[in-house]
Amino acid sequence: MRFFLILLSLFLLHPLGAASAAEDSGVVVIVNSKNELNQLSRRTIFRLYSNYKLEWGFGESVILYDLLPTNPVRKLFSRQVLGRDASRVAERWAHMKITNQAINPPIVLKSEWMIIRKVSRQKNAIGYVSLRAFKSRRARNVKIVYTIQAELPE
Amino acid sequence: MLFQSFLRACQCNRDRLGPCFIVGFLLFVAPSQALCDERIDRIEKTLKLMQQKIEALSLENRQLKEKVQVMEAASKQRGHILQAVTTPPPDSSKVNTSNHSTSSLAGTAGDVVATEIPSTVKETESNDEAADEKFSMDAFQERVRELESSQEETISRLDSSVKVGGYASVEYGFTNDRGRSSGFRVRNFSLFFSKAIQKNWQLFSELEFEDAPFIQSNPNNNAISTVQGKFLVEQMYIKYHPSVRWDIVAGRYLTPFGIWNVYHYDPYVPTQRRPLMLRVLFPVFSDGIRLRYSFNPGLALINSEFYLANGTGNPGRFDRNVSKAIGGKINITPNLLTDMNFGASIFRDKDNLNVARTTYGLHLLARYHDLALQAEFAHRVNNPLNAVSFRDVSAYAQLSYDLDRWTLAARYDWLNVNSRLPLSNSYRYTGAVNYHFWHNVIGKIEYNRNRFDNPVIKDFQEVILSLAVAIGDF
Repeated sequence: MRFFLILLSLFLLHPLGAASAAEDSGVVVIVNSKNELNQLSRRTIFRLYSNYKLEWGFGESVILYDLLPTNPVRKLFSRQVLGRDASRVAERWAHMKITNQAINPPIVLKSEWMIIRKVSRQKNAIGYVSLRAFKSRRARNVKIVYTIQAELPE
Repeated sequence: MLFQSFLRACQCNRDRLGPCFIVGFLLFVAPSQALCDERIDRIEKTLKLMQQKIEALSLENRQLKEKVQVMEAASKQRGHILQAVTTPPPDSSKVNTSNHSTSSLAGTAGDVVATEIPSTVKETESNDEAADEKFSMDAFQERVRELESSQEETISRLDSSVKVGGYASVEYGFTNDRGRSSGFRVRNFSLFFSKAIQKNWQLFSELEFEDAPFIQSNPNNNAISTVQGKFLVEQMYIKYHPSVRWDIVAGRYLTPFGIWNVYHYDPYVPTQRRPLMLRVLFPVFSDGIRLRYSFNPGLALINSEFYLANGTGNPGRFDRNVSKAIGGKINITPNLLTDMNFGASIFRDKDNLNVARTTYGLHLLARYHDLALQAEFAHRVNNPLNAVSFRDVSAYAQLSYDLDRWTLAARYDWLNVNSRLPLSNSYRYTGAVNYHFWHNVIGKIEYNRNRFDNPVIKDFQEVILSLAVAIGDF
């Protein structure tokens, strides 16, 4: 009887756990809570991260934060928003930087937590982190302006 | 037995029944009554003691409950203050224990004592744990602040240090071109140095060593005995960049004409051979000043560059003619959800042979996900002082496709030098496969077929195997 109860409990709990994991998957684009914009389109984010848009509407230059090209969060972001592999986007930036042609290249940070910290402190900053990291850090002074709902790559 | 004997004696002496009862009372009932009273007194005393204990314990319990409430409030407050930390919720089991012990007061005093002592211990422990946790969180936050300031200091130091970057490429070429043989080539070794001198001020330079330069003099007379390869200061400028919108550079810079002339470094382009128009229709670099101004009409971006330079064929030291070269480039990125750039360039100069030259160019870079089309067109009008004008025209179109670590590319080149001369067209067809070992280590295989209208110049083909690396992408 106990065995069946355990099985029943596992059966009932498993979908809940899966649903919870699915809710936490994905990537969120965050800006400082003082930023006037509450929502950004994918196109706008694409243009910001491609240096095609250099300033916010309130006139300040954009500070872009990026993760390492090997980070699965960056891989998903690059593929979904920029339309290219993270490594190819990194190559493009390397080319721009090496020729000193990059106007406002993204600042690459190693951890999502650092991105949350930086964005929470700089009004004109924008970054992206996994939804899980955003929730677990109980990020303050930042707000989500765009959500990518997809599973993170391996 | 004694009582039965007494009764028998009473039956025998019925006349003396009254005195017998008195004697019996004195003998049996009175002592037992006294004993009972004693016991009752003792019990009463015990009960009074127990009641006192119960009162003391209930007072203690009330105090503990108050402590729990204070702890709950403190815990909630801590939770609000330190949101970044997972704070355990107030331990309801402890509160329940207290409640349970309160209800147990209705039972025996022994039960109350048995439940209350562990509860007190638990409360003390939880107090200690909370204090420890708060202390460790404060220490943790302090450590984070230290690390952040340390990181900012490191970044600041790195920003102010001299940054070194560059790229290198080696190749092996198979060719059937007359006068050339197959072999290795130490193609390029370029070093970039960048230094943020002060806020908004930067020095940037590129030193290029092509084909492993070697210069040697004769020790007897200092005459140069050997010169091989090419050593070149391809770029060296001081840049003032107060805003992302605009900057100005002074020194030697890559001539802002089209795409390839600026973005041409081996690890980042699919072919080792450059398009035919390069180094023919306009100079690779210019000595002078250049102004860039960028602005966003809506979500589009317009980049504009204007420059004034000595012009073609002049060393870095002075201008060999009185006229200055002027030029400009405009690049438009429309508001699309993909990489798309197009624009125009112009370069106007009167060279050292007194030939006034004006080159116009158009360029396009369109990328749809992993597919990219890059094309340029350049048209130069040459006006010699005492001769008939002539034109040079060139164009190329390159299609590339990124497939995981691979890049496939194909390019068509065309060049017409001096349109007044017959048979002045030359063509090149290129196919290339790149493999990206890493984002800065690329292997290439490239096939070129070169064709000329002029029968004097023999067509030739070549296959180039190359390896290109980039160091330090700043």
